[in-house]
Amino acid sequence: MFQFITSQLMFYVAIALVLFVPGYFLLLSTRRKNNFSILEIFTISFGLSIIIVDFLMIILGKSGIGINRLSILSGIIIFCGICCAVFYYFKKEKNEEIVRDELSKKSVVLVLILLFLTIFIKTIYFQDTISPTSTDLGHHMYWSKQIVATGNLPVYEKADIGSDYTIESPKPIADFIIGEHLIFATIALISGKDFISSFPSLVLFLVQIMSILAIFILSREIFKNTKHRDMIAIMSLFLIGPLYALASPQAKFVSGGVIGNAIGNLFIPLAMLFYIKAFSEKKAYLLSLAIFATLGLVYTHHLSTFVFIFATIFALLFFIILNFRTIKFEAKEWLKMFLSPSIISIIILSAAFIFIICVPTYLNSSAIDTAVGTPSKDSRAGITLTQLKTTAGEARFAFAFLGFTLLFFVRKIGKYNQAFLLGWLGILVLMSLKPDLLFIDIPSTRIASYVVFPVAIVAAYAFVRLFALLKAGENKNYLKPLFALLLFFTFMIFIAVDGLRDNSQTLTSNSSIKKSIQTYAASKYLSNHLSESDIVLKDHNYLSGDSWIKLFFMRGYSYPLSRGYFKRYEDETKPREQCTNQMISLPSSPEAQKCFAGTKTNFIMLNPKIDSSQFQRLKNFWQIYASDEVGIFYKKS
Amino acid sequence: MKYLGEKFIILALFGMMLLSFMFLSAVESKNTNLDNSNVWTLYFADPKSDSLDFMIENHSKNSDFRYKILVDKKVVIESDLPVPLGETKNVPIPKETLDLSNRKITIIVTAGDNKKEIYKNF
Repeated sequence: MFQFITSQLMFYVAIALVLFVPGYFLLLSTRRKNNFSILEIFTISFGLSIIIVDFLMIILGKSGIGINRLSILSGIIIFCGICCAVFYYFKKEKNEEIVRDELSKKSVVLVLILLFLTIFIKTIYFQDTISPTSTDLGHHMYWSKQIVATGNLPVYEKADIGSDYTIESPKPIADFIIGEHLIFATIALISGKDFISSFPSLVLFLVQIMSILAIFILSREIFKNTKHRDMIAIMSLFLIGPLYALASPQAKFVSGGVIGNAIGNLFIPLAMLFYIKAFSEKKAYLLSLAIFATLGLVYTHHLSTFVFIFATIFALLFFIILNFRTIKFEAKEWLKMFLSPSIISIIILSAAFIFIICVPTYLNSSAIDTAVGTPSKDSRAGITLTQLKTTAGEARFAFAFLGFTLLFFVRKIGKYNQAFLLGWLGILVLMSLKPDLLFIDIPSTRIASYVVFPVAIVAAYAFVRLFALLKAGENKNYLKPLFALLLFFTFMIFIAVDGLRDNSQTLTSNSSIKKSIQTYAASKYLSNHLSESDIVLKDHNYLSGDSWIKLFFMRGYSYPLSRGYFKRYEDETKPREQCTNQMISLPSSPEAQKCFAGTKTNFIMLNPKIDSSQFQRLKNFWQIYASDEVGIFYKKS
Repeated sequence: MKYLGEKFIILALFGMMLLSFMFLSAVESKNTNLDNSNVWTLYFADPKSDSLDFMIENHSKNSDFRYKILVDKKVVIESDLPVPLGETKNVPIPKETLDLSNRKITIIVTAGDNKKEIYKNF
């Protein structure tokens, strides 16, 4: 019990130090912290902290100082010290009165109720999925653990089996981006938490709650010139919080370990917030923060960066179309801002970081070629409108459609706000339905999952605007108040039922942890008995939690070898080696014999209920381990 | 009482997340404790050598185990072995007492209705 309490305390201290403190101090050093609301400071500090810690870790790794508890703690303290020094050095004598546009009491109560419902629903879902079992999370945590184990930045590479049946030298892979692993490594270093625990999922849960808050503050910013600003923001919170709380990209992304996407869903609204504020208020420091947030996105998730770039381009297009007459004036204003010393400095520093200090793994021609071009598979050729409606949530989609139309004609929300919102939603719908028009070759369902956030904001706007329009003036209504109230409740029930039904369909009691802990126990047994020359092959199809096995060995991303999903061996668009399949499925075949000889595989981990009979017939295999869900066979040479 | 506004949202959010985290951590701690999983495991102490010593690791409610050593299909040793919950028992098997040449040595362990076996071929 004492150990549980101390480990929890260390975890929360690490979260505060890594995920809140650095961002807060950076905001403090801008000397304009008071220009943000308290909720904005809180949310922005979280996002900025992730980016700051990422860059601190990269600098520690690249400089040769090494990554350990002392170096990262020192780095955070020194960074905060510098920010403090900047703040006090440039602090103005006169105390300015802080005027913040706070939420009303009623709004605070509504926000609290919605946040409580959101956290409650997600907690119920996570009690079956919080234990470490998901495949993607296992892969990601390997790299985070590698950072902790080696004190160096990871080298993303894996070794495949070649055509000569031997294991080739490791080759670079572009599937992972460094920002997906650094904060987990940092929290593990400071707290001492084991990666095979709930901590990675809990951190992702926190990221998701903060991304919901980011949508809330973004809504408040976008609609700050309207009378119903807070109502729209609260409605956005309702549509993105307790409703549709579990399906992708919400809680399922947390339990599934879709780290880059989850963090990207935080950075995108934060970056948009900064860009909208920067261009609306014409403040260079806000543009600096926007570029910084974009840089963080670049180092965290390629797909989110791709989506964000497209959203920005489309926002620019919409802005030009809707403000054609004043575009020359606007362009001059933008140029003035971009040519300010702070912006030029940050652009140069960013470019230096990206192209010299630490190039993101996906910035190479082969990785770009796989994402750009005519869709290569049906799954990348776009989804149907029905599928998009299901992804967005039917109720949300219906109101978002209305809201998108209304937004073209609205004048009061602000030209940048309007352009960003139209661009963001418009491009995502286009990328999801017709990716070939934009030469995008990415799984369309992944793109479509990004549509959820702008849909929630636009739907909220449409809902509130609809009822505002029904009330023409102080003493005049287009609809009798009773009918308006009935209509309001009808729509609310429609939205709530759709959102909660979506939750219920995702909420299943399907925990695989009992099977996975047996996999971990078997892995621990093997790791105590392996020598340098031993090669392990495991099965991905029937073993639970198998992607976490490599965390017990820490001998490379491709160790152990893995028999993947059967359909992948038959995929003609992506031919692959057959050894990992043959060695488990048909161990006595001539092909398998060549594979065993070439790869020197001598340990096989599999589910004994499915795959043991083919080994029990062979005299050169010993069964050396047996539990309910895991069997291990040793090939005697 | 002074109106805290958005500060109150942040404080309440901290409280809710803290409770949620503690609950989920406790759930995970319970789920990943093998002693709560009602499973037991059988394995060789040394998987690669000729040693036949084996271990029973018990995380189940049943603590009464029975093991049999078979040379090819003939039972040569049979015995009961109590292994309490949470414990691992090592069972040494002196190889010298067995004729191993060209034989399959199988260790079968049963606990209630559950049976597991491991083997080495010589």
